[in-house]
Amino acid sequence: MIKKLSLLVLFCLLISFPVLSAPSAIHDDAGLFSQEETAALSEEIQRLQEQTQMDYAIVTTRDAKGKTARSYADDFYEAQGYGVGEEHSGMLYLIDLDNQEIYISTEGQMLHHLTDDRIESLLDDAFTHAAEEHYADSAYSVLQGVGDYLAQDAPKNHFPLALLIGSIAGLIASLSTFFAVKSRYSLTHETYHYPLHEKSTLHLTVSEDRLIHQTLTHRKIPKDPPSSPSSSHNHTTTHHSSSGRTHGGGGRRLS
Amino acid sequence: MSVLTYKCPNCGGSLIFQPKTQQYACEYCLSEFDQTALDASTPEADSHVNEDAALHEEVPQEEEISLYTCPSCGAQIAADPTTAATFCYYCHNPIVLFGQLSGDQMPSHIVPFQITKEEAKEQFLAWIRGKTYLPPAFYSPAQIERLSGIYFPYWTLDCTLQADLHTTARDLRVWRSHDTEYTETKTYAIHRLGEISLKELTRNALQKSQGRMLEGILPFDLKKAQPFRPSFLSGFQAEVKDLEKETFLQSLKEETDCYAKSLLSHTITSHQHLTTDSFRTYNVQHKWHYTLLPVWILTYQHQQETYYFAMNGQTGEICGRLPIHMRKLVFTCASIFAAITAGITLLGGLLL
Repeated sequence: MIKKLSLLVLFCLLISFPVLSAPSAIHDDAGLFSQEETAALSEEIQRLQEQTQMDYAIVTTRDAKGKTARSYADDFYEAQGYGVGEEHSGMLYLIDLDNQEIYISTEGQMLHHLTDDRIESLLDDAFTHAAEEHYADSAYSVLQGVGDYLAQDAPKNHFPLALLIGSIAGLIASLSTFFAVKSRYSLTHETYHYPLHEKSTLHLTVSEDRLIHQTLTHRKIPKDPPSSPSSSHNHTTTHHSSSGRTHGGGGRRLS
Repeated sequence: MSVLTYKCPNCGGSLIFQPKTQQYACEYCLSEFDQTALDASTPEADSHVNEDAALHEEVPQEEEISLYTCPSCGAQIAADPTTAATFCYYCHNPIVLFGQLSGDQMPSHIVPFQITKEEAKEQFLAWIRGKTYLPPAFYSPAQIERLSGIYFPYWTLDCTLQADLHTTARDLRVWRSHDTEYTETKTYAIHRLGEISLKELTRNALQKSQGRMLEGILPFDLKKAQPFRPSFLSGFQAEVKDLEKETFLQSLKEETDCYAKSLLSHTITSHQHLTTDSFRTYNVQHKWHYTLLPVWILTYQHQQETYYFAMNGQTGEICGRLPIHMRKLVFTCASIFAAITAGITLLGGLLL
C-alpha cells in the first residue's frame, strides 16, 4: 500500500515538475491578450517547444523601465531564465508599447535559424498585425513563422531519395558494364581505314585562289549596364546584452 | 584437274612451307630447301610432284563440291570449288589442288606466311587474356589446335585519275577599334586540278568468307608480295576468288572519288567556310592484282552463332568476334548494380 502511494506521489511529481520549473512563456503585462488568445498562444508555444527543444516567450509591456526595446527583451529573457541547454537556446517576442516597438530577441541555437533576413521577414508580418492593434495575431504570426523556418532547417529523411539515386547509378553502372563487355567482345578492330596520305600521291597542275568579292561592314558596340553589387542574405547580426551574453534579433517601430 | 603434293627430293616426304625461314622443310628427314633448290629439283614444272589428273571426278553442280583423290593414301577428299590447298583428312598430307589455280584463277601475287602457328597461338592466348566472360570451351587446347593458316584471295587495285575541284571560300575577319566593330568578308573562287595516284586499295574476293573479318585484318605490306608459285601453299589451306573485280567497280569509284576530293581539299589552306561548286574525276586508270594473302583463323560455334579470331599472317594484326558467357556477365552486372545501389543509399542516408 505504501509502495503504491509512493509511486503515485512520484508520478504526480514527475508530471508537475516541468510545469513548476519552466518559467511561464507568456507575460502579458500590458494586458493585450484575451484569455482565449493567451490559451491559443500557450498551446502553440508548447507545440513548438516539444518539436524544436527550444524556448519561446511572448512578452508585452507598457513600461520598459527606461530601457530600449532591445535591452528590455534581452534582460527579460535572461531574468526569467529562458533558454534550453547551456546555450540558452530560444527566442522572445516583445510588444513594447512604451517604446512603441516590437522586438524579437534570440539566443543560442536560435541565432543560427533566425538570420537577419528571416527576422526582417517575421517583423514584416508581425508589424502588419501590431499596427492594427491585433497584438495576439502579431505574436501568433511570429510563432508560426519561426516554426516554419525551423521546419525548413530540420534534417530531412533523405532515404528514398538516396535509394532512387543509388539505384539509378547502379543501373547505369551495370548497364554500361554490360554494353562495354558486349562491344569489347564483338568485332574488334573491324574497320580498316585506308591510309590515304601514305598510299597516295598528288601532282597539282592547277592551284588558283582568286579574290572575287570583298565587303566591309561596321557596327557600334552597345555598352554593358553596370552590374549591381551583391549582398549577403544568410547572415545573423549579434550583440551583447548587459550581462555579456550574446543575443541576436531585430525590431521595428510601431509609430 | 590435278592434285599436287610437293615431295622432298631426298626422301620423298611431303614438303611444307616454313613462315619463319621462308623455306620448305621435309616433315620426315628434316631437310630444308629454298625456292631455287625446289625449282632446280623440279626442272620441268612439277615433274617431281605426284600428279594425278585422272583421279578427279565432278559431282553434280548444285552441290558445289568436288571430289579429289589423295596422292598419298588414295582417300577421297571433298572440297569447295574455291578451295586451292588443303590437307588430306585421313593421312594429313598437305595437298595443292593445282587444277583450281588454272586460267584466270591463277593469282598474280602471294604474300607468304611470316607468322608461325605457334606464334599465332601465343598471340591468340595473349589477346583473350583478361577477357573473363569467354566460355571456357572457346580457349580449350583442342579448340586452339584448330587454328588454321589460310591463304585468302584479295583484289588489290592501283588507280590513277585526274581530279578537278572548284570551291568558294568566305574568309571573315572581325576587329574592334574604340567602340566600333568591323567585319571584313572576302570571297575567293578556288580551283584545284591534279593527277592523283592511289595504291593498294584492297577488297576481299571471297564471297563465302566473312568480309568484315577479312577486311578487319588489313593492311598487308604488299611490297613484300612475291610472284605466285603453287608451292607456297604447301602446308596451308588456300581459297581462290569467287568475286570478280567488276563487283567492286561502283564502290571503288565512290571511294576513290572521296579520296581524290579529300586530297585536293587538303591543299586548300588558309581559307574558311568552304562550299564545293563542282567536282569531277576523269581519265581513271585501274591496275588490278589478284593476290593471295595469309590469315590465321579460328572459328567457334556458340549458340547457333559463328565466332572467330582472325590474324594477319604477315603483320599480326588481329580482328575477331568473341562469344560471351552470358550467365557470368549477367551475374557480374547484377552484383555491380546491388553494390552501387547499396553503397550510395547508405552513404546518402549518412551524409544527407
